[in-house]
Amino acid sequence: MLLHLDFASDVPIYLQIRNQVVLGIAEGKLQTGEKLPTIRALSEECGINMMTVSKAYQLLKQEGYIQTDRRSGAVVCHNIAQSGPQQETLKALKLHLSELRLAGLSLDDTLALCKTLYEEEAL
Amino acid sequence: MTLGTFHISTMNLILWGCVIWLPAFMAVILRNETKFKKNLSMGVTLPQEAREDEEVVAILDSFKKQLTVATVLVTLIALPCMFISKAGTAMTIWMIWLLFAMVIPYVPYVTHHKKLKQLKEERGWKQAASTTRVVELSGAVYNIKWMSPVIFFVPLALSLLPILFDKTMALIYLIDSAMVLFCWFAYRYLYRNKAELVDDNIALTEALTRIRRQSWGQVWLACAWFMAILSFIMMLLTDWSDSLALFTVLAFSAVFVFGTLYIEMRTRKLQEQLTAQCGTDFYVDEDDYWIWGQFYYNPNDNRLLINNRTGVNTTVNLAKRSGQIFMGATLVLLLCMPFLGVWMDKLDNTPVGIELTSEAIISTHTGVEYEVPLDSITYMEYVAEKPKLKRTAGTGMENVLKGRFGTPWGSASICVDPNTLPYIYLETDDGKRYLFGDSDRADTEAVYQQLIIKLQK
Repeated sequence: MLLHLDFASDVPIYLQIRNQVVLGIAEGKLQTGEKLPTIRALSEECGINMMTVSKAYQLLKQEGYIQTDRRSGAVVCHNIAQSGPQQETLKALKLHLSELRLAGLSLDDTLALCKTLYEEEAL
Repeated sequence: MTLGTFHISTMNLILWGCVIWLPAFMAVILRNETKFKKNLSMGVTLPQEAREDEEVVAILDSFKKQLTVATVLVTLIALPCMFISKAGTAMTIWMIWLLFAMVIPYVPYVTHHKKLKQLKEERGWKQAASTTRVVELSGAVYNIKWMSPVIFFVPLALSLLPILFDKTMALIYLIDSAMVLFCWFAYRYLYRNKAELVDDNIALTEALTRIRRQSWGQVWLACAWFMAILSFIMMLLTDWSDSLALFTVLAFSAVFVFGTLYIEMRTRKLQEQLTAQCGTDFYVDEDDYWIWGQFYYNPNDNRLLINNRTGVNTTVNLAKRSGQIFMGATLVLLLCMPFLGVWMDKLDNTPVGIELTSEAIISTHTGVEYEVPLDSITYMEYVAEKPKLKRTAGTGMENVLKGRFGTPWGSASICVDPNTLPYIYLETDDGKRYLFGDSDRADTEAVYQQLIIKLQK
């Protein structure tokens, strides 16, 4: 899977890494058990600080998307279904739903939009 | 050597032999840039469809023609340079020629690179914004193993072996061994461990990364063996014949240079073959980070060392201060090359002298070279016949020999004019040996007579 990092974006690089790994898992581009590069290798590859990659991996680990091991490095471990969505995700969803309501979308329109996006994601 | 009324000095012939192939060498490398490797041609990333595009083909053909003209011109200019007899002037002219030979072929390269880049913009072939970067997230790409340092241990041991047989040139053998160690260091630490990313094909990325790493290792291993064998050539041939040693070193250096060129071209060929079908859908485009397709400038990359886009070589990131310093220092060194001849001229035309004071005997050339206190001298000899001298570290020119040399008495510090005898040989109470001589025979003899009187007192 390829990471597309945008250095001009307002989204911090560590968050871009985190978001794209999550997207990769959701889209099936990253399979459970698949090895990710080590922090050193990925920082060398991207030309960014090791701390940035470490921060992204820590976040992914906390959220349960990856497991880290000293010997095998980072491995995709998708067990999020067992723990349910994160509080942060629910907060963000609530905010986006409010924005959609203010934009004039009805409940049915919102649900239809969510369904389309969800199915696109699953492809 | 005399050709009709012209005279070609040996030094000029050696210099000519060392540098005359450079334009052809550069032409081979630059001509190869027109071939599509990793979707790149002349430093511009292009899609598959561009390979057959008439305008692209025309730009590449035009570049090849101009490159051939530039190569022939630069080579022809070198021919009259062979007939300059004065060593220092010849060196200055050769160094200026060398600078031109390195720069001129890049003039058509840069102009055609710009044309190709402009065409790319016009056709809408540009893939990404200049602030984005694409990286491979598969761990498999980064698990390629390094060669064991033990492989470098064999040439290291061999480069040290001559010290057992020849102590006089121990310093040179040690420098060779240090170079072997540097080869391992360079292999391991002067490489940007980066995936060779062309598109989203992981297998291709892994294969290209493996090929590059392997070729990088082969170059440095070849360099390590070159240094080890060089030590043996020095040990075996310098005692026998200086000319033969010089010729062998030059021939062996040529073999090494062409060997590394072969590795570079083989790597490029593999890159070309493996990516022959790429560029149809998504492809990585980092053109905005490369000035004229040659110089890397990316403020978002915090690494100094960068792999060249094709082949095996590395370069530096000019957005980093250390990269700018490195490139600036290289440029200054290159521009200073012509002054080497001026310096050589000054060095060769300055007479060698000996002075005697009440306290010491002083050998002078461009300044005070050696100062030997009279009360430390334990042995003195008048050398009327030219002894066999073997340079280990120092200067060996037409009118001056100075530095550390092997002599019939053992390793000694010398400062003499090889065209004027006699010399004065000295040994001191701390075991050091010296050989001094003045460019004026009468001065050496006068100093020797005064020295006898002083030492008798």
